[in-house]
Amino acid sequence: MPGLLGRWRRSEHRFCQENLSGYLDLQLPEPARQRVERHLQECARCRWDLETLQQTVALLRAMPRPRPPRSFAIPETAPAPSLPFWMRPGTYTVMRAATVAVAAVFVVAVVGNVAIWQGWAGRAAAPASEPTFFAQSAAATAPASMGRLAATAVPPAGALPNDTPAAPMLGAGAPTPTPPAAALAAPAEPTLTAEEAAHKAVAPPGMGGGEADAVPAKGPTEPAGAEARGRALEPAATPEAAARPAPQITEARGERPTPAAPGEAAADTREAGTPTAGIAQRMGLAQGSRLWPALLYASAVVLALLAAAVLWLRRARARWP
Amino acid sequence: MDEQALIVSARTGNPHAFNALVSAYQGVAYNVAYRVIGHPEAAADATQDALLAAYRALPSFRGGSFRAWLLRIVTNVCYDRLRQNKRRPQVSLDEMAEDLDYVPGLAADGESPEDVVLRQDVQRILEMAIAKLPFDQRVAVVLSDVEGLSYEEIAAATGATVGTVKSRLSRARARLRDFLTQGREPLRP
Repeated sequence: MPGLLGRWRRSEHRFCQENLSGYLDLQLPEPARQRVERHLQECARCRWDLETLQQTVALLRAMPRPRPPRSFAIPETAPAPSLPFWMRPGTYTVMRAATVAVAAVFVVAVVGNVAIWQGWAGRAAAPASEPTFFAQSAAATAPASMGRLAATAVPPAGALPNDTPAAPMLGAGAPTPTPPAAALAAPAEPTLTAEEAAHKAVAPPGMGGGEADAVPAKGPTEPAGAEARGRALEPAATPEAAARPAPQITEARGERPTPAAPGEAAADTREAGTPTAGIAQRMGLAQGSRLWPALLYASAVVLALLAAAVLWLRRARARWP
Repeated sequence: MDEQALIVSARTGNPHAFNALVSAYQGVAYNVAYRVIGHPEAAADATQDALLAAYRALPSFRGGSFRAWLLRIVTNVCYDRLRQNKRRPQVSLDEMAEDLDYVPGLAADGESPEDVVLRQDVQRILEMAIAKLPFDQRVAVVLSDVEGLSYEEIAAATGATVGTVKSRLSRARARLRDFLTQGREPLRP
């Protein structure tokens, strides 16, 4: 019981100490004022503190007011009142909107780069016909999962599903059935029969059929994947354009006999790689592969600059009267 | 011409209207700058800068207490100057100490020389105590107890909430009291 009483007294003492200044200025609400007064009646220390605080405030109020040593009138030539550009209404809104827009571009660039890197990791596993920026950067930056992918892609095409794990992964990376997503899922196409492929090419590519068909796909898919990526990167690519080249490829594959031996299949893959690499080049993959990182770096730099400018703006505006 | 009309006229680029406001507020602006900076010349320069900045920034004044708005600019300029002086000291500490003795006027009516000396001593100690306060607390105590601004006006002048002002003022007064009493214990009843 005494412990409880002592704790209560200490709490009342602390409350009184914290509110003595407000009490002096008559700024406390009625219940708090009564609480302070009740404690003052029984606490000599708080009474002494109140008294000395009153004396301090009285001394401060009695301080002399020094006269200004000169007139501070502004000259007639002083520049007319005007707000600096960063205080004008709209500046902050525009800057913020620009930051959001560039952030969106940055996100798109990141997604685009990741998609391309994943695609090139698959390509790097197969014999690369032309070393480009991404073939090198993918080898350096591909995550461990891609390394595993690349490692498993080395054996002959007939022995294992080369890009099979990559196809659903790419499909999952772009969940909306947009033309690039359909194009990324397209590596599954060459394993279909000529009739199936022809049927698929006629079907609208935005239906997600490519993704569904990609799961059971087997066989060498790298060159067609490169082509599909080329198509996805080409600025003028439309769903129709994405679907158009598919019959050609499937036709080419359709002529190929079912691989009888692993070595034969591997050789076949290399043969098929050359024309599709050419197609990829024609379709602007080499240019596209530089476009995405350029977009990424440019948007990152602009975003950083804009973020710094917005922070500076906020600080400057907070200090402005 | 009333204050509002002068502000409207000054906002259109009339320096004469603004100078009428200056003559009304330069005393309080200089006093705050002097108490916050603690050096008469630096305070005069800060006041001049603040008044020029206020003239340029007039379009951003959106009503309310003009005094509080002006004192916000003054305290901002003082803060910048103190920070600048901390980086590149232009006023030596000795000079600052000498200037703390600066008390305009001598004896008030009916004051004996002893009273004058005593008053000047108390003022000197008080100025030293104010100079030792953190900037925010110094501004709060100067605006409240030296200039007599209300809590709301201090909040407007410092950009803080009334609760923050209350707390800064409470801590500043307690520190000043402790400095003046030098840890003297209260008499036991």
